[in-house]
Amino acid sequence: MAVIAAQRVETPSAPQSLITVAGEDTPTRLFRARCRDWKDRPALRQKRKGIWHSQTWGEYYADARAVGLALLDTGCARGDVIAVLAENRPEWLFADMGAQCVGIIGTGIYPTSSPDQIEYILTNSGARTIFVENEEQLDKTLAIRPKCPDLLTIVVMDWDGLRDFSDPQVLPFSTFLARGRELAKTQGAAFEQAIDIADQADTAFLVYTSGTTGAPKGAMISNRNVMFQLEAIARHLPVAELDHSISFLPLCHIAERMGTVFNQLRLGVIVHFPENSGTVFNDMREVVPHMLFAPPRFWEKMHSQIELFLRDAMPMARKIYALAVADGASIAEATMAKRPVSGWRRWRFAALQFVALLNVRKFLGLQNIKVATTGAAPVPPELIKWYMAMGINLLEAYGMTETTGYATAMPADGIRVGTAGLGVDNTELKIGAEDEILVRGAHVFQGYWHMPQKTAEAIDDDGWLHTGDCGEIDADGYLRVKDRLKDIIITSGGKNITPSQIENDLKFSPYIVDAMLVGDGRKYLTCLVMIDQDNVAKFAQDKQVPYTDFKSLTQTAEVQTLVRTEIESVNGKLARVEQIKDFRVIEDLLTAEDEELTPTMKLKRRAVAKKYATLIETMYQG
Amino acid sequence: MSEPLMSIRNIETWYGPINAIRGVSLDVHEGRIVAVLGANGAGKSTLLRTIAGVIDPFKGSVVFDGQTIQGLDPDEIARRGVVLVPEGRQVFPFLTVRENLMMGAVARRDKAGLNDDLEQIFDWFPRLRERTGQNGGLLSGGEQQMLAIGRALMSRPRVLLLDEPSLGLSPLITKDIFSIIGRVNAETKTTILVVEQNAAIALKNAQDAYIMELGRIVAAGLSEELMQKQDVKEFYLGTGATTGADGRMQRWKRRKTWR
Repeated sequence: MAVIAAQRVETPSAPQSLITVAGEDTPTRLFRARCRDWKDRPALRQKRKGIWHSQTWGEYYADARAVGLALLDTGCARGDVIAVLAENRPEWLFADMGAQCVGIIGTGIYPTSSPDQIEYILTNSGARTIFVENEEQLDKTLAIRPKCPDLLTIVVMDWDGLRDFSDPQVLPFSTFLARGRELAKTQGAAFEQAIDIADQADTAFLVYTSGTTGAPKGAMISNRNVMFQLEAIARHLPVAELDHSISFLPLCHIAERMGTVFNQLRLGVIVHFPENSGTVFNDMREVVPHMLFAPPRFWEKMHSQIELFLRDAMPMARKIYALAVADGASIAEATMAKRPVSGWRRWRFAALQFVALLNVRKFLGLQNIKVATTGAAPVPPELIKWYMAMGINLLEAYGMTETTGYATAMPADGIRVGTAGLGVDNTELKIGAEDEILVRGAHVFQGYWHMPQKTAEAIDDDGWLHTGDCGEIDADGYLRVKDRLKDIIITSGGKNITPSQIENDLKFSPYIVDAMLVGDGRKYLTCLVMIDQDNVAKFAQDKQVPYTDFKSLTQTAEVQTLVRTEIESVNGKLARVEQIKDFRVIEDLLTAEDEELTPTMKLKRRAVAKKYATLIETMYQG
Repeated sequence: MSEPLMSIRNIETWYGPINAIRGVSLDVHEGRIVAVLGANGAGKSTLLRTIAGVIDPFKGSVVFDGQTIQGLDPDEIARRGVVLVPEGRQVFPFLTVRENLMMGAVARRDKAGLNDDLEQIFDWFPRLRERTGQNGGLLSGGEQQMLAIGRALMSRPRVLLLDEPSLGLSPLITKDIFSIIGRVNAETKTTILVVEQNAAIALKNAQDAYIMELGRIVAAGLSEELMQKQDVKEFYLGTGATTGADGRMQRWKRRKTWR
């Protein structure tokens, strides 16, 4: 499809110099070089039925080549789109990388998607082939197949339960791979050639934005975007080759897509896939990763796990732990402020750390961690200080799909809690109208797939990306992100309030998973609270509060008081107009499949506001 | 509703490091049939055994008729009128049917009505009348279940705890047993707490129901209400969508949401 080239959106008009990593200028050429140079080194590991299976770079290349050739054989051509609908697993990478090598554009679909959502992405992208994980995903796809005329082939990774199933359009991944391997014997050169003719300006893959507002949009990420990030990240991810990383966040998301598929090409780390999403914490203890990116929610979960665990510990252990955390936090603050710390205090903390905190790190599987990053949502400062006390520098970063990941990152030697750090190398940052954050650089995406109008809204004529976030940049260049522009609440008194910081303070409570502030055009602020089932159930059990199901748990007076106390403690830190006057606990136990949550378990403001409209009204009556 | 006859509050039970019940509270009102449903390992039997005093809870309380009974010996709890029909019947194999039934009356102080009660039980379970002299071990599974229930009824319980009465029985016998349970409840106002895997029959015969999963209650309400829930239909009654898009048997399951 030559149309793609014509559609390509102008990134900065100045003559572009090629960005290279290890002498290669496209991700697929870099991939080929790595697979050649590191042929016998492990690249991927997956835990299956309790056993870790390794795959070398050489085998990875062979599988990607087989997929690439088989895709061409089934009728896909350079510039076409394919989709992957699966949890993280090596086949995801074979499909994605194989497609990219032959110039086919890959995109991911969240496994929790409903058939309608799958249909939207398949028809919007015009996908020719879809790789689905198993029978469940196949059934969803078959249900909407008649409405997807572009779709040629459905490849199923896990054929369990489908022995008697036959359909001319559907085939197992193993058959698909075998066909590709057969083709590789005769057409190996065609595959190499496909890698050779790639251009840095070609579209590498699509990432569909989660679509909290309106329909999802397919962001086109170019080879150049990827190379920019690979060039920039090394400074921020100081790990060694053969170090461990773990892949468990959705690969459909830009952060994990870059972290799993591409960073490896620069850093040479071994990517580990856990058994399933329920075993992540256990598998992490076995993987003991050296680098880890996760949203704040994940780090909060780990933190509250430790806090609750210690409530049941011996008084002695609790004391030592509390002392160690307090000591660590104050030393961390002193270091950040560049104040001297006495040798005695350093020595005492080292001892405490050895006695108490090392075991906490081991319990979490974090004893080897060299670099821990977080982003995608603002992070409560207390959380960062807690991890600092643990000896882990939790570094905040800021970025989005449209910047191919990182736009800013926290320098490890100049941490400023409450900011998202400095712009990554070769990034221009400025604050535009309404305090909107603007970004320019070679990581700014090409545009939205088949949506030139939306693209023009996002990237202006001078190449500045309008992020839709508001924030400020301090004298030293540190970026402080306040909120989504669209989410800013203006009370009827005319006061502008950025809800996400207040919500984040609430989320720091182990009992609150997520909270949503309400108050646009109203006299005062209120909020909806989603409680943490495990931690609140444990609270109820400790206090002997009877309840039956989740709904009745949320309705007990004690839980209401608990939430109120948590809100009051946050209110204490806020100005009067920002204080939360009333709240309601969401009585449904929400899961990622529910329309109220994004696949990353964040409350969708509009969907929630609509769904709980009557509940919200009750807070404004009388 | 009035004060419950038995209220269970925040029961937590451990088998060594395994947390079998993670905080369960439920009410049993006088004269009603209450069903507790759930898959294997949900903690249903543990719950009944905890109520009957066979296991002491780690936390929580059981209040029966205004008095706390958790931690008492099982025989004391039985004497107060909370009687367990254990899983797998456990009749005395070398005693006759009549002797087995009399064993249920051992703890009774009023021996006067014994013969009437025996007659009453034979009325409910005519099969037992036919086999009065036969050894318990020589009865069929269904008959043994009847015998175990009859034995428990001989102690004139106020609350009868039934642990999976349908275990290993044919659908027809299961239906018989449940209809007799219904009759006992209707005629004597005996309160019944029944734990079952066969959700369809239990929901049909009970008035109140609780559903347990992994040691927690995930749904509670009147039986008729629960029967209308999508999750109950699909995962417990097998009447939801179970075929794939092309009519194949569907092997995977939608995740439960309990809403």
